[in-house]
Amino acid sequence: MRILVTGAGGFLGRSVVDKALVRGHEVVAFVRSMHGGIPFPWEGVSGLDIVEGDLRNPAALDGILSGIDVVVHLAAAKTGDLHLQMANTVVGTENLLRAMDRADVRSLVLLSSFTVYDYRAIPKGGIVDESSPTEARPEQRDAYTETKLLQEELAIAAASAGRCGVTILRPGVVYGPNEYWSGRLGQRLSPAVWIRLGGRAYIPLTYVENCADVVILAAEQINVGYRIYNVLDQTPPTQKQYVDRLREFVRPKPIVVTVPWSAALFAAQGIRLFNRLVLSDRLRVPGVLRVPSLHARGKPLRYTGARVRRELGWQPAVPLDQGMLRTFHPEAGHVSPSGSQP
Amino acid sequence: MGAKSSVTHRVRVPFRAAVIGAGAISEPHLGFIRDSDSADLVAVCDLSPTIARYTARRYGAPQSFDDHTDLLAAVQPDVVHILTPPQTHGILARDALSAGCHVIVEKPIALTSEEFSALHALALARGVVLTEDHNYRFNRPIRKLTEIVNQGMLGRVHYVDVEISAPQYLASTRYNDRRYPSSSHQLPAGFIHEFITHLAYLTLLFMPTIDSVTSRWTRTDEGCLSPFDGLDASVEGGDATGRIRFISTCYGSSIRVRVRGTAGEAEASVSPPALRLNTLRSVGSQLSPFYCQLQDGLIGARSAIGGVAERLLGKGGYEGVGVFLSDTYASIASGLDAPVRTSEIAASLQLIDQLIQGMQS
Repeated sequence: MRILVTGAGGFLGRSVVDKALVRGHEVVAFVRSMHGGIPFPWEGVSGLDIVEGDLRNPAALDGILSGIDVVVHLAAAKTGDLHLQMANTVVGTENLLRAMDRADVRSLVLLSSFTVYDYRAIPKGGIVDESSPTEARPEQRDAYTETKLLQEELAIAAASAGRCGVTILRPGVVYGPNEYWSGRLGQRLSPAVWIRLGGRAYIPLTYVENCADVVILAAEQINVGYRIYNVLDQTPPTQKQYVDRLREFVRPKPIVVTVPWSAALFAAQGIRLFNRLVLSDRLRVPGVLRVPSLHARGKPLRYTGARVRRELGWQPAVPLDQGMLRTFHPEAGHVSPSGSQP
Repeated sequence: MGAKSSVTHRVRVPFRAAVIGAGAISEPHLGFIRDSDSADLVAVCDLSPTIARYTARRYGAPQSFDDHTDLLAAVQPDVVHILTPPQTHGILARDALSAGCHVIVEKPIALTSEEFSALHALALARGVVLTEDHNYRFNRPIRKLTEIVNQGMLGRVHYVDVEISAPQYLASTRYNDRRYPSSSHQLPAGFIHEFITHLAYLTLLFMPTIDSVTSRWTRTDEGCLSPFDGLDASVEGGDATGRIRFISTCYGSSIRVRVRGTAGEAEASVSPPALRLNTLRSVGSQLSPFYCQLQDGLIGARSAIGGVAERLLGKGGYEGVGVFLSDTYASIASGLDAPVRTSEIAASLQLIDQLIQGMQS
C-alpha cells in the first residue's frame, strides 16, 4: 500500500510514518519544512519519499498523489488566530480533497479530535462516545474547535458525495515524548507551578505510538462512506492520578494548586452574567474563564473507545505505565518540564 | 460629510450588504453590519467555499458564494465590502460598480492613481458611492488631534511626522512565512504596500498640500521576502515639512502621528490610544511645561488602562472601522459626501505613487 501522510513532520506524524514503514507500506511523507525543528530520522530509508510543501498552496500537491492508495491527513494548525487556523486546517483540507479527486485517490483517514464534542450538552458523569453531539456553537469555544469541525464537515461531505471513503479518528489527549500536558488538566502557570482544574475528571489519554497504530489500521481497512472512531487507551486515569504520575517524572517537581472545577465554573458563570448585563458581551474573556471552555476541559465525564477496538481490532500496545516511562526517557535522567502544551 | 455629492442614491435602509473576502479584516466589517441598523448582511463570498459558508452562518447571512460574479448576479446587493488582497481590489470593485452597487474597499483601493481614476469614472457613471477605508483617521486619538489642529491650538503647522512600526521579522507573522509567502510581497512596495495607505492619508490629514517627496527605501533584514523592509521619506508642502516612516525590523508595534506648530505640539498614538498635547496653557508660560508634564503622566496612565480595556473589549486598533462604516452608510443614505472623499483618496494614491517613484531612483 502506498500512503501519503500529511503533517508527517509533527508529533504524531513521525510515529505514523514509522509504523507505516514497519508494516511494509510505501510512504510519501508530506512535511511543511525539511529544516528547523527535530531532524527526521528517516534518511536513506527505503520505501519513503519526503516531500516539502504547504497545503495552503494547491500547487504543492501537484503530482504527488499519483499512485497513492490512501491519504492519512494529520496536518492542522493547533495555534494561531481563527484566520490562520482556517487557512491551514480548512483551506488545506479543501485543497487536499480537490487534489485527491484529480488523482482519483479514494480513501482518506482524517485525524480529528475530542474537541469537536458539545460538552455542554453532555451531562456531568455522562459517556462521550461517537454518537455524542458535536459542538453546536463552536464560535463560543475556540478556533481549534471551529476549524476541526469544519474539517470533519468537509471530509463527511466528500464521503457522502461518493468522492472517497473516509475514516475520522478522534483521539483524546495524545501524549508522548515532550508532549504530556493538556488543557484538560488545567493551566501551567510556570514550569514550577501547575494549576489543576479539579481532580476527578478522566483524561482520555492515548500514547502516541498507540494512536499511530490505529491510524495505520484505519488506513489499511479501506471503507466506503464514512466512519468515526474515538481513540483512547484503556482505563483512562483521572486528572489527579495523571498529574501525580507526571510529578514522579518532572524535575524540579512542580507545585500543584487545585482549583475545584465547579468553583471555576461558578466564577465563569458570574463573569458571563456580568459581561452580558453590564458590558453587552463585549468583554473578551480568556478561555480558561469561559463557561463553554470549562465544560470542555474539566467536566467529570466518562469516555469510551470501544467501537474502534471492536471494528478495527485495535488494542493499545503500550499501557500507561510504559507510556509514561517512554515519555520521560528515564535512561536519560529527568527532563525539564517544558514539554509543549497542546 | 458636507456638501451634496453628485451621486444619485437609493434610500432603502437597511441596505443589503455583501462582503467579499472573509479574512481577518472582515471581522470589524461584519461586526459593524451585524450591529448596525443601516445594513443587513445578505451574502458572504470567499475563495474558500467552506470559509464563506461558515462566515455566513456565523454572521447570519442567508447565502454564501465562492465566486463574486455569482454573488453579484444572484443577490444584487446595495453595498459591497471588498476585503480581499490588494491585487484583486481593482477587478472586484469594477464588477461591483458595474452591477450598480455602492462599493467600500479596504486599503489600498487601487494599486495606482490611474486604476483608481477608471474606477471613479465608473462609479460616477453608475451613480454610486466608491470609497476606501481610511480607518485610523476615525480612531479617537486621531480624531482628537484633527480637532486640535483644526481649532488652531497648535498655531500654524510646520512639521508632521507619521510613523508606523510593525515588526514583521522578529516573530512569526504572515509576512515572513517562507513556506507559503504572502501575495503582498508582489505588490509595488512589497508588503509595505499593505501599510502605505495609512501613512499617506495620515500625512495628508495634517499636510493637505504636498509639493515634493523624497523617499528612501531600505532593506535591513536580508531574509525579508519583499525587496524592502523600511521606508523613510521626507515631504514638503507650503511651509510645512513632513516625515513618513515605516519600520519593520525593530521591537514594538505602534502607529504615531506628531504635529508641531507655531503654538504647540501634539502626538497621537492609535494603539494604545493616547494623545499628548504641549501648548501654552492658562497657567502661564512659566508653569505651562509643568502642567503639560503632569498632564502627560495622567494621559500615560489613562493610556495604559485604555490599552488593557481595548484588548479585553476586543477593539484593538480597528475602532475606526466602525466609525468610518457608520458615517459611510449614513452618507449613502443621505446622498451627502462620504467621510472619505474621492479627492482624499486620489491625493493619497498620488502621494503613494510619488513615494514609490523614489524607489526607482
